[in-house]
Amino acid sequence: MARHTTAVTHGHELQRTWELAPRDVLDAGLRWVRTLGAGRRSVALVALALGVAGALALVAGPVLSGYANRQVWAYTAVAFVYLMSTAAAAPCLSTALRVARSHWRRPVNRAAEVWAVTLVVPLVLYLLLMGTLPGTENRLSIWFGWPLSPWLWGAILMATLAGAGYFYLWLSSLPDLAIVRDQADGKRRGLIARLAGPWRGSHRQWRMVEKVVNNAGVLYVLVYVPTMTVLASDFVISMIPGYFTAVFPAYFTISSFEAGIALTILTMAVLRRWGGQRDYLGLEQFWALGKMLLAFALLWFYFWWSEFIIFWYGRTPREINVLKYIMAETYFWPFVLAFALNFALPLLILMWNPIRRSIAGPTVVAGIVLVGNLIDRIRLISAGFSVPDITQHELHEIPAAYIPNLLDIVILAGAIGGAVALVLFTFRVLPFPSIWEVTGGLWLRQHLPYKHTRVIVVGKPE
Amino acid sequence: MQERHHLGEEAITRELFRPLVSTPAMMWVGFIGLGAVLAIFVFAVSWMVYWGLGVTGLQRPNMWGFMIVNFVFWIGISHAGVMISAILRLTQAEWRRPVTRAAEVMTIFSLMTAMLHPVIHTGRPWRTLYWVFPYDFWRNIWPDIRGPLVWDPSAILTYLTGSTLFLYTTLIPDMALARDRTTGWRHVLYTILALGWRGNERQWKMQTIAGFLLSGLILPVFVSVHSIVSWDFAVSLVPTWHATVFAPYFVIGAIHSGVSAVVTLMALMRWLFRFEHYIRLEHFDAIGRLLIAVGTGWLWFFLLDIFFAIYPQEARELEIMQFRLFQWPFNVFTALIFIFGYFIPVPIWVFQRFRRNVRIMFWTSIAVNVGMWAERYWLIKPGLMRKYEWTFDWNWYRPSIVEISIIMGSFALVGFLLLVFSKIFPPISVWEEKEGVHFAQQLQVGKRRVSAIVREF
Amino acid sequence: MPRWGMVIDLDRCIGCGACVVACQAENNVPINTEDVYHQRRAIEWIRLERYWDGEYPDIKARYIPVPCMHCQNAPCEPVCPVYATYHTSEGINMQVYNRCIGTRYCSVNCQWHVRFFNFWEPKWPDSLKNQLNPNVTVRSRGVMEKCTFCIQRIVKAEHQAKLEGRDLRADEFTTACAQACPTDAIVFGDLDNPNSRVAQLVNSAVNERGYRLLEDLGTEPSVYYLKKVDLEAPVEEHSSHQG
Repeated sequence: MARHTTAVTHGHELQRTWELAPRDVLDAGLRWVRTLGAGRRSVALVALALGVAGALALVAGPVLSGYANRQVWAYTAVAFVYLMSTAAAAPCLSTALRVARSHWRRPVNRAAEVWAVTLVVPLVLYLLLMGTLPGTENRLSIWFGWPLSPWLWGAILMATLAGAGYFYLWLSSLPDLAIVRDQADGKRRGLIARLAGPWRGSHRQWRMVEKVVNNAGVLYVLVYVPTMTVLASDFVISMIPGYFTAVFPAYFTISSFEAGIALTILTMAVLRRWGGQRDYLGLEQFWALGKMLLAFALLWFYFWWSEFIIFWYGRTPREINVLKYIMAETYFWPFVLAFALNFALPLLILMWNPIRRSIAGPTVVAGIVLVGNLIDRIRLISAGFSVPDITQHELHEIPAAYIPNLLDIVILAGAIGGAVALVLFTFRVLPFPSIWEVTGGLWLRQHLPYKHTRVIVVGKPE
Repeated sequence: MQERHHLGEEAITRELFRPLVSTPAMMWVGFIGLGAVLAIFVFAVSWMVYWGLGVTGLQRPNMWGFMIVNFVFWIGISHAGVMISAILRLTQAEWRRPVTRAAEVMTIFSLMTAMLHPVIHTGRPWRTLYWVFPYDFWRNIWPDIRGPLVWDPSAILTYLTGSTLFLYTTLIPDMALARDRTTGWRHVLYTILALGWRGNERQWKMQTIAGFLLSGLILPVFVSVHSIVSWDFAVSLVPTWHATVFAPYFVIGAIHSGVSAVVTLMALMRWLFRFEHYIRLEHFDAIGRLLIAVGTGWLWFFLLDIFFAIYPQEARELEIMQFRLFQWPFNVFTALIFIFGYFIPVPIWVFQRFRRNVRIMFWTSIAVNVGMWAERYWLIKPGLMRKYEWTFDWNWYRPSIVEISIIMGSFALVGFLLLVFSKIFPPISVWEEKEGVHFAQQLQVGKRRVSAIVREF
Repeated sequence: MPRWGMVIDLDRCIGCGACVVACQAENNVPINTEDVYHQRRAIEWIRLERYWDGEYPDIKARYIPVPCMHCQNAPCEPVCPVYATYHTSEGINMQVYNRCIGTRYCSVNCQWHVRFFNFWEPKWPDSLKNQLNPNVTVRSRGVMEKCTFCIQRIVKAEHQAKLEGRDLRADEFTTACAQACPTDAIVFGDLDNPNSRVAQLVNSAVNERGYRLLEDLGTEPSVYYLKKVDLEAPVEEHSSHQG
């Protein structure tokens, strides 16, 4: 892979990264840890305050309306599912980019993986929600009468996912943590030294990390997809009687990947604007991820349509009622918004080459998709948590829509704020850009003469 | 790691054009053997058209049989061409170069073969051909566009047109090369096909843009074709067919079987034409890694389909599921699908040592397609045999010798057409191969030599 | 505009098969010889399904005549690419033989198995050649066919009414199967005409026994069944899917 040094001829901004020396990257990373990552304390505190407020609301809700009232938990479930769809999906993107072995992904990876640090929030929320999940006797579920279902198995999956996520994040930042340990001064050294552990940068350790990081990522994806499948079934499909659909878990997972990409793009934009990452997160990254976001917006439509057309043609009363409930009548406007924000607007905006090939374009669309995903999750979870009797095989009467109250909104904002606070605190110990990955790319770079010009070539070792 | 042999342009041209001028002995065997099967195929089809569909094994609940299964199978195979060429072209994956041509040609021939099936499978094929293509709008009897059987030919013919154009666009520079080196009828043919290609900068630019544009445009068609084929089944109310997951499930299954068929083809070409310098082990390695991801994705959809068919716990679906999971002969099909479609090949592909072994790649790719044929049969037939509660009408389906001949013949047809193609056109894209040689670089990084590719940003 | 429908009283049905034979004669259905039965390609626009209930010796034969349901929301209709099957304004699910190209998709998507395909060229013995009904098309090989509610009789009656300048009278005519039924189990008529027997049966209290086949699919069949009431049967929970 290479870039013409005469980049002007193609009208593209040349990625500054490939002009840098490894030393520059190291300096940038250390500067981040010393100043930038530690700054913006006020934002972190606001996020933390939101998180605390959310936690209080979470306690207040059931106290006021009774623990057994399932509707009270709807927005806790929304917060949980939304975090699973965005923050937990971002590391999957990082894995996909690693496996595809492109060089532009090197500075992107950490921006995506850092969200794995928030996995504790959905884990805690899930443990709270577990009590509200009805048992699987007398109702349809994907568990087919397994003992302790759905609680135990969902919890195992969630715990495994959190473990895999933290392991992946830790492993991929291990060499950098060691750099910070050795070079940074100050109070955080104790924690970092413990995290960096025995890393000395020996040949064996490097080989181990390079091999295992990919596999840890693949493991994370391999846990993530079944987890989302199970959550789709436990929180939506089995909560809506007569919603007999096999594609929904795939829709749930694919739309989560879309939101994960959007979250990564937004993180990158923030890092670029306020984090001094201009040299690393440039047009190349935004352009490539913009293309992926467009592709996943199209997939969103495809997976939704696959379900819709079968219900539309099936026309059994059961299918018509489900369509009325979650798309056509009760949750019509949330559905229209989700459709517009997840598919229509991203398509209409990103289909234009100049917009896709910019920083602002993909960033704006990423924001739109994140909102769209939230609305979509609100629609599905509210629908699932508002059916009074889930033991039937058909919706005999269509329940009314669930309108959130202030407490619900505080819970939702709190969970998101808590997650953001966690990421902001992680910024204080993790260097940006990922020093070892970006320098790893720089070692493979050479300036070569090619035809009438000189090009930068980046090698691809097996 | 690239094991590229340093060949001059002239050597590349000579070697890649070799199948056109010399015919290996095995090729004659292929022509004669496949030709014989093809003769049986032609006879079987004529027999069926003359006597009517009574000569097949179809009867009342089993109105669709082997031919429809085979139709879905060949449509699936046809997804490889675009998967390999368009997606890999757009993502600029370097290892696509030696396989694009073969994959695209396979797309076209398998699409043509697939299209044949529903046509000869209708009750009045003459009527289908004469009055439906083109449709007789002048009598104001319009086709019913609500029906998937109208979407089907539309999507497939669009796909066929698109992939033919795509193939032809990538073929033009090679035609010019062949034109300049041949005499006689070949010269005339290549002159016409080269469209006055001189290889100037403007022509190259147009050709590149056309290639990219067609790959981009054909992607939605590629997804739509197998989705629509799946909706042939899924929009009906037949239990086990009426599943929302069918469209993405069929598409990923198609990619699974199609890319595996490309591996088969790569191994055969390497063996038949001695293209070891072009179809290298690194290519098998790369395509094997792709197949791991595709195969695992397919397994996920396969399991989704099964689990969420059981999930409603309704007797209709459960009974058919019971029937097709545990009763002869479908239990064997189930085992074939799981073992040949996933549990033999994918664990083998995980190891690089095996991915770089042509023999193993060949046999695993064959296994995948055996499994995928079984999967199509397994998906389509049981629902018809046990449709709803009418135990009085339930019935077995036994294909007749005519149908079996047609199935065998369809394989022979694709093989024969591929052989004929490789006698007339270079089976590996010559200009793409040369382009790859130009872009390939070797870097010295520390003590290692690392390969790199020059590419525009 | 009439809306044709049928009621079949299973309590009256004795499983004699007269309806099947009458339909065969009226509608030029080819003779179902033994080998055609063995091939499972017999064409019976109305068929008599026989189910065994119980174990020998305490066993009962249950009969249920099944013609085309003429669904108001028929699954067979949208899947035909050439409009060979369509819905008439009188609620009949119609088959146009000339348009049919024989994709057989309608039969695949008919959950009642009442669509039949001409696998062979239809043949009659010489002795029966003169028996063919001149008002009904003889279908060729390769097309679908099915119960039409004896459309030729409907057309004839409507034509007659038009000639006489009057509306159709209730139960002015009936289908061949209903005509042949010795126990009067099959009743055919206009569901929208409150004076017709079929509408009275569907609307009246008798219809505590009424049901339609595979009603849960939401296709709105026009053929109603009156449930079999077995006085000797032990009282048991009703758990059939057809209920």
